[in-house]
Amino acid sequence: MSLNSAKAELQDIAAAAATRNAMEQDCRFLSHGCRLYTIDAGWQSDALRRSGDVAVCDSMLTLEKAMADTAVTSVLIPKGAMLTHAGIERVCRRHGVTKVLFEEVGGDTDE
Amino acid sequence: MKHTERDLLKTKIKDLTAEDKSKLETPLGTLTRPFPMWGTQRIRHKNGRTDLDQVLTTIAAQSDGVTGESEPMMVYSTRPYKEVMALAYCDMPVPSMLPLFFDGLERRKPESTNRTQFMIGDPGHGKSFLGALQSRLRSKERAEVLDCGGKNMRELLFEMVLDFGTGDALPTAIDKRLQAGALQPISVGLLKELDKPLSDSGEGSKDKRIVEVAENGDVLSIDWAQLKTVGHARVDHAFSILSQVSKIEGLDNQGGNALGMNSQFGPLVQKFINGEEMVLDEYNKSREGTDDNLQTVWQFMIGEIDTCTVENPLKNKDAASGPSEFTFKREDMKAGFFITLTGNKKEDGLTTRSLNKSVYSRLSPQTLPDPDVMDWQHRICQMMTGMPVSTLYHVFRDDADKKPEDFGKWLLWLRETKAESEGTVVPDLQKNLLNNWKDVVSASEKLAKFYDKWALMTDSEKLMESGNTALVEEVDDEYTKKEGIDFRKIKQHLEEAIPIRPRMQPFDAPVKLDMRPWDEKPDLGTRMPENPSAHFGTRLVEYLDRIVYEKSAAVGKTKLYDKLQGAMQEFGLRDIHLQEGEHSHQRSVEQLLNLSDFDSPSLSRRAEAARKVFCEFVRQADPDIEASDDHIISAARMREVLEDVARRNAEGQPELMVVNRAHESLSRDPVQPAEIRDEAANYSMAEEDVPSLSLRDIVHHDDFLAALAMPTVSSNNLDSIWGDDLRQFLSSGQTDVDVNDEPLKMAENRSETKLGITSLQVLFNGKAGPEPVSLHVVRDSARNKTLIVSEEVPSSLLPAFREAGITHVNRNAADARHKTELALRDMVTQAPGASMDKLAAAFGYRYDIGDATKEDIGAQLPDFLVSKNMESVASKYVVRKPGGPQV
Repeated sequence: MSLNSAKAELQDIAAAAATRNAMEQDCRFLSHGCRLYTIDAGWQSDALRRSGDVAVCDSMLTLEKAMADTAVTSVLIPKGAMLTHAGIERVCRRHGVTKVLFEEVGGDTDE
Repeated sequence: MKHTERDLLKTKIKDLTAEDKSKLETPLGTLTRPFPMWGTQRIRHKNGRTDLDQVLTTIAAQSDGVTGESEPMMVYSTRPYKEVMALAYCDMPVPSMLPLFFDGLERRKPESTNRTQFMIGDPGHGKSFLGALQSRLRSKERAEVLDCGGKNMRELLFEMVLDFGTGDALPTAIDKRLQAGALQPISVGLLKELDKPLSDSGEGSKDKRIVEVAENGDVLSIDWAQLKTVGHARVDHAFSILSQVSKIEGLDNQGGNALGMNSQFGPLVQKFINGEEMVLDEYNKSREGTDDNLQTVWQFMIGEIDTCTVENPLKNKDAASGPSEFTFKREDMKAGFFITLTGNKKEDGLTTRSLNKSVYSRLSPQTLPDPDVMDWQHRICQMMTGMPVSTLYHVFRDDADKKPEDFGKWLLWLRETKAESEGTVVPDLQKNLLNNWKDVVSASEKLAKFYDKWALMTDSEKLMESGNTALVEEVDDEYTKKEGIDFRKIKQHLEEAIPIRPRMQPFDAPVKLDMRPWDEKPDLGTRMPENPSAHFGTRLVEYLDRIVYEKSAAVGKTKLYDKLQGAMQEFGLRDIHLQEGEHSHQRSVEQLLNLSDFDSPSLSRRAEAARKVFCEFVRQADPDIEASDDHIISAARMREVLEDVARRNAEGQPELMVVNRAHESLSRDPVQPAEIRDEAANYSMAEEDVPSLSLRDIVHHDDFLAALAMPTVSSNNLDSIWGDDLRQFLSSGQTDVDVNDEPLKMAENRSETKLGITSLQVLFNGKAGPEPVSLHVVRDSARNKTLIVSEEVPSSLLPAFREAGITHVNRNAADARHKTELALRDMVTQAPGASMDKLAAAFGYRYDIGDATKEDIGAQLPDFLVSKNMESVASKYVVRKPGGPQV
């Protein structure tokens, strides 16, 4: 196994672990089956961000685009994003699709 | 022309070939894969009478046995079959909405000329969800949900929009500056004005706000998508503000930051052209009189006419360009086009209006019935597990009861398939709940009945007919609007209960304050990951307990509180005690939803969990052992061991088992029999008959506790540590103790309160070498909670203890007394008063605690339990049965 493929595999494992950790914790039920989980800032959110499987949305505009994109299944809302829970709920309501959203919270506690 | 699958829904129906239609067809509800359906049927009673009744049954294609199946429900979809099935079964509408779901599928058939469905019901019933679900079943693309509240319906046809050019350069630039805090204060002030016309007209409710502002005045977000289509009346205002901001920020000089106004086809026309679905939410909250010129369009949509032309009133207004008209033609209809309209019942607030008679007659709205117990249960299951386990069980009961494991696997397959199609995983809590689907069905039924009753108690209009006349003074229309129970409330309650949160301590619990400087973070000790499902039931019931109080007694509605408390008891949310004090055999919601591998119905899962605990324990206890789990003991052998333990327990001959750490035999016999040798029994024996006891015979502290961390063995052992030697000693005439008193029953774990307490002597390697030490056990068998106070325990056992409902306190720890007191208080919360005193008195049968009848002796119990200097009167030793290996 090359160094690059080993690194990619590790990143995949980290992203899967981060997703699983998040999905075992807090959850807000949003419209149309969308769910908003919290993910710890630090290695967990970094792993998810690096995995490339999520669309990182820091504003209503980018969230709107991600919701309309059929290729996007998961969304990461970074800390400091210009989004409120009411806004997220509103966007989910007007796009009748099911996506999983992760909201980055807290600090680097589990490093 | 060859179409790709994606194109088929966007293809004109007249151009679809038979082969195309067949490709789109996805059968739902076939002979061997029926789909639940709710409807009216004639039911024949035993006395021969027949009545019409509404029942939950299945819908399935008919078969004449010769020509195969015919006419199942059909979803016209571009999604793979398994995804459609997973979505249809997991996101199934509540039973009372199933006929509408069926109707919606029928109207989406290519040959259907009615391309609308209008539903009217209570808020939160799932109307817009149903519309969007139908769309999701057909394609991965979104179904746009347009909130019609306060909107001009003419704009469905033609709308005046802000044009930001390609790439939304201006909004992106403003967002970036806002985020960086680099926007001029005057610009921020102007942006806040974007909402002004909305708030002036009373439509700027929180969920329709375009600009969200923090308390400190910062702009938190701008809803550009909503702003773009803010409506003709406000687009001028928005245009003017954004032009000013653009100038102030110098963005108008940068290329690409275009800003203009355009008139364009409205969403209804766009959806028709593109062959897509749309949901017009809260249609009867749209602005009065604005849907007059839609009447002919609705005639076209429902199939009354085949062509309809609408003119653009915005053309050339304010020099706006755009189309001058649009003609809807039947021949242009595409397979994917459909409009779902939803409306709230008229009584829902002032903004809801009665629609024109012509709208009613054309769109024929279908009114949803009030939710009943089955609907509540369905939705509760969906929120807890991601699928309607209760409805599926009700319709497939016979097969599910015959093959419960297969039914569980099928449920999990559906749930996992849905998660896979959404590009995610199934949360562990949901997996655990689905593995224990029978418990979920029982618990959800109790919860649904409770919510149904709660809903009736908080519905001011139904107080008389629901037998809640006593609540007339407390529950008025305002309270119903604010606190009435609907599906959204259930959602909020479950959201609160699902995550593991810090718990509020009892008000009278001792509070310790560290008054040294707080320069560094406190040491939290070893953090053990908690299984989210292990105490889910407790979290949910505790939350309901609290919210019931806060929404009733805390706001002066004491009668409502009493009734809700009564309902909580009636439907077994907490542990169920019958009036006579007998413990019911029924399990409470709390118990049913506290799930872990410890009480999994699957022996394999319990064996796997036991093997994990055992292997980690022996590796930690003996660093020489580095082997993997498979090399230490096979899964099959552990399963056999647990089977044997469970069988003996079921036969009424539970035998105490402790962990065996002897290298040569642990693979074969991970646990070995032990027994309790009670000194109380010695009093009635001749001195020469008293068996001798050496340190070598006594079971090690860790071996005893490790067995308590293993599923099945744990509950078996907690049944096996009690006995009646103390009673026999006390009734032998040597004492004047009332042998029927409550403390003695507690010492034998026979109390009706289900509380028990006993103490054991086990071997521990102290500073002075191996010596017997006390290990105290306090048990609440009603709630399956156990407190053990002893010496330090191997850390590998702690997560398993948590799942087993065992709180272990190391008596040498600084906070031992505090932890012991908290655990004891939690145990006696539900028990009759003075239970703590009685537990202390029970403890006093084996230890010298002074005057055990003294009032408030219970307050000293934590001290007794953590003390190392209690003098034992009659000790109970845990000893290995002769013949077993010595470690």
